[in-house]
Amino acid sequence: MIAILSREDEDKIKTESSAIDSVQLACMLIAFSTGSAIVFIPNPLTGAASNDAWLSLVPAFGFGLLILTCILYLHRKHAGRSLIDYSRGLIGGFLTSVAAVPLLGMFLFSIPAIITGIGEFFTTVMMKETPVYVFNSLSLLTAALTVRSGIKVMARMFLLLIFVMLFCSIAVILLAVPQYQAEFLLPLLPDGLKPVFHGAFIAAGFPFGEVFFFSMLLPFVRARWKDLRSKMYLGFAVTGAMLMLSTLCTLLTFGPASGSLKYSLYRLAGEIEIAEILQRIEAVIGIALILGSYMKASVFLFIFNRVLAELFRLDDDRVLVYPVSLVCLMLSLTMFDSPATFVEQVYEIWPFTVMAVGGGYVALLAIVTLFKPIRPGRSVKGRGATK
Amino acid sequence: MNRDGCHDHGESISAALADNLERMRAALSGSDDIVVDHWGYGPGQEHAAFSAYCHTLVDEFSNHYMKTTLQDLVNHELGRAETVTPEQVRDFFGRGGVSLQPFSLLDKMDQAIGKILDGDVVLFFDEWDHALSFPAKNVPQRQVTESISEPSVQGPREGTIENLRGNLGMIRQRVKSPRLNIRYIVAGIELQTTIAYAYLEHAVNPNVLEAFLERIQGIDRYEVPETSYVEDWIEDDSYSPFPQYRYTERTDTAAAALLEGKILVLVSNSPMILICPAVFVDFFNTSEDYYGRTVISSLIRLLRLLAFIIALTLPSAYVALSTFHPELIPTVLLLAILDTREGIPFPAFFEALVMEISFELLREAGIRLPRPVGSAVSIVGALVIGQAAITAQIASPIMVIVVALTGIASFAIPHYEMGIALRIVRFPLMVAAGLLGGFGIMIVSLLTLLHLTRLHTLGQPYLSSLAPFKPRTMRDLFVRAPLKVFLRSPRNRRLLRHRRGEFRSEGDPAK
Repeated sequence: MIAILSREDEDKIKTESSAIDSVQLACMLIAFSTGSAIVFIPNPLTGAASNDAWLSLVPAFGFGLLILTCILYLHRKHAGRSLIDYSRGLIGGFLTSVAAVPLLGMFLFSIPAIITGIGEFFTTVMMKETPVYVFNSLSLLTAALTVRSGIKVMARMFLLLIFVMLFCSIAVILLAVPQYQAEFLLPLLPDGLKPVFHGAFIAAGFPFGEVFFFSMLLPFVRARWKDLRSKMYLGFAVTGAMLMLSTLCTLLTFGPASGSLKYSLYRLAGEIEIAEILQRIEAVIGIALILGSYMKASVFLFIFNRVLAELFRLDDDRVLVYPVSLVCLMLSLTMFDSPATFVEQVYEIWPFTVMAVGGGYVALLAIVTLFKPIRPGRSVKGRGATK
Repeated sequence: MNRDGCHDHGESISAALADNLERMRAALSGSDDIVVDHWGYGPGQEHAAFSAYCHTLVDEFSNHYMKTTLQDLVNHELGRAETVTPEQVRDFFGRGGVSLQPFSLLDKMDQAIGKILDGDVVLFFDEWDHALSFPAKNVPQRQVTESISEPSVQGPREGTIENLRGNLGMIRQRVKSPRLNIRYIVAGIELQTTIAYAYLEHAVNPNVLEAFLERIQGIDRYEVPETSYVEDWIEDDSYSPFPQYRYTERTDTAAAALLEGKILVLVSNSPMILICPAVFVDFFNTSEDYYGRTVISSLIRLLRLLAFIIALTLPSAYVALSTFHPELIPTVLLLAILDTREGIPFPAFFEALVMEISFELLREAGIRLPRPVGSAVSIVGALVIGQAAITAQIASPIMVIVVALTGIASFAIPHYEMGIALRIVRFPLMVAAGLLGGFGIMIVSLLTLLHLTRLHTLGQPYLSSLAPFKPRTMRDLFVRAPLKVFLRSPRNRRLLRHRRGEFRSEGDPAK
């Protein structure tokens, strides 16, 4: 009995003193922002901007970069504290709690949305007769178990899974080269810039703007500042490139029609036919989608738990993982009545929320930091109080 | 702990010979294989002595040592040993005189009994509260042969035997470094097994060594019949299907492991060498990879990776594809499969389960049976039943191919323990595939990966070099870089750094 206890304690210490390196964090960033987006994003973008969808990724990526720069700046200025932690120092405990309410709401939307993404993909495309809760509950259970294992395990595991996911996506994109028709990209900007900005609005919210959540993960990194900065930008660039590739290739294959093709990368894989043997490799994209969504859900769930733990000053942030997961599961089963509401909420309301709440919050903190002098020693004290 | 199993406490040997004899007999529970020879010596043979040994352990025709002992005391032919007095014996041996035969001087009864049971001949003299013991063990032993579990085409063939000292000797002969540190622990009261652990100082990771020493503590209180008991004792997770330590019967593998900074554990009377810690990727390497040519070794490694994937997922992938995702199978192949499955009453999952279980049965039966009968089992099982199952339309030919391929692939994984682990994980995967198709496979694979990522071996991450990812180790993972690379920058940087430090301090005149 004593031996068992001591080993558990040992485990706890191991995860508590967890620190990950900058490459691992960059991989988590790729996992988090490429995640499910690589399969999902071409469809709404082409829906909004038709054959200029790839152009709209540029301003969206720019917005993401701005947010990333903001959180890195805050991370540096506040000596590696987390978002909630320095927000308390900057705007006070009460205002932080107020600001945290929409933040928590965002988690309660995004995690069920990701999970629903998996469930819907399987029930509409691959296994039409299986009830959706099977997929939702199993994916969420896996994500919850992963989060319980701590950030170190997550970081290690995701680094491997990123390889698999990127390999699957790039393989499909390369094998589909014979299907590409360059004329699908023309004409350029037939309806002016407006549709491009509509697309940019979606993409700025759905994968790119979400990067502000990473301000909760930055405190776990042990790396030199320059190293961290370059790795984070590199990871973000990989994400941008992958999404750009996926959107471009979908456009090159299906043209404006890809706006009405859900899971366009999956359809793209279905078009591949090389030498009669390499055909029907849609499953590869299925793997990429599950991996991406699972990783994204895990990271979200982890951040959610961190935010809750810091808000309520819990000693053990893992205690909430299962209850929170259960709530998310229930929400995922009830929140979206139909695929249409899913599309509306994810591609219209969510981008707005990310920009307004996330972007606004981070921008506010950055501005306050810029003008409010930070007395030395204060950050140390504040850190000690929350730990 | 002294390896002779001596205890500092315990009764002293008495000066009265009869008393000693009685106590010894009592302590040895009157066992019939204890032989006591009585001797007389000294002027007029008036002094008495006896020698005791265990005749099952000692060569009957070997020296009984009485004469040799007395011979040490006089220069010439001894005759009937009439000139030697007890005082001379006490004086000479008590002060550590130079004897013809290696001996040890005992003063405790427990020691004497321990020595007798360890195959020594123990001499008791009257009027002396000490005894002399001479090693005389001679028990039949297996010859050094090629290891059965790890045969190789190229490279050394020497395998370990059931003799601890012999095994350690073979390792020591390969590693002549003064840094090789071998430690003994005597475990248990009845078996008194000697556990030896060895490591190369400065090559071993201090954290690993610390974890090892901490965990092996206390094992001396228990009976340890075999190396696997030590394995379980120091393991991180006994319920994991994945082995966290590696076994070898090859001394060259053991020596290479020492250089890599691993700790070896050997147990007396067992040929198995436990290499700890072992990470996941270690189970896909063999010593022969380093003896063959670079390209071939690399290709074989890739083949093993393929074997791993097939052994783990082929049956479940077949079940998932044929049951849930027939649209993912190329049309011509799908038609072929449907053709063979026609008339088979079971769903693919059930078919796969039946075939896999019968294959496991066959394998288990083949291993346990004596070799001539074993081959009969495989003929009956594989050929007759396999063919009959197809004719009777219980299984489809494709399923037989799938099962056979899986079996062969699992044999292609060089370490038996990892093969067993895959056998275990394959079944949940099949069940998941039968229930939920590709999604089920993904979920179980992710959970397995999560388990592997969480697992530690002696405090080191089990998936180390994959997760946490170490790019530098890639030269010796899926491919094997040319040996020149390993020679120029050895795998164990710790040892290299230590040596460099040494050279520098030697060359530095200031120090």
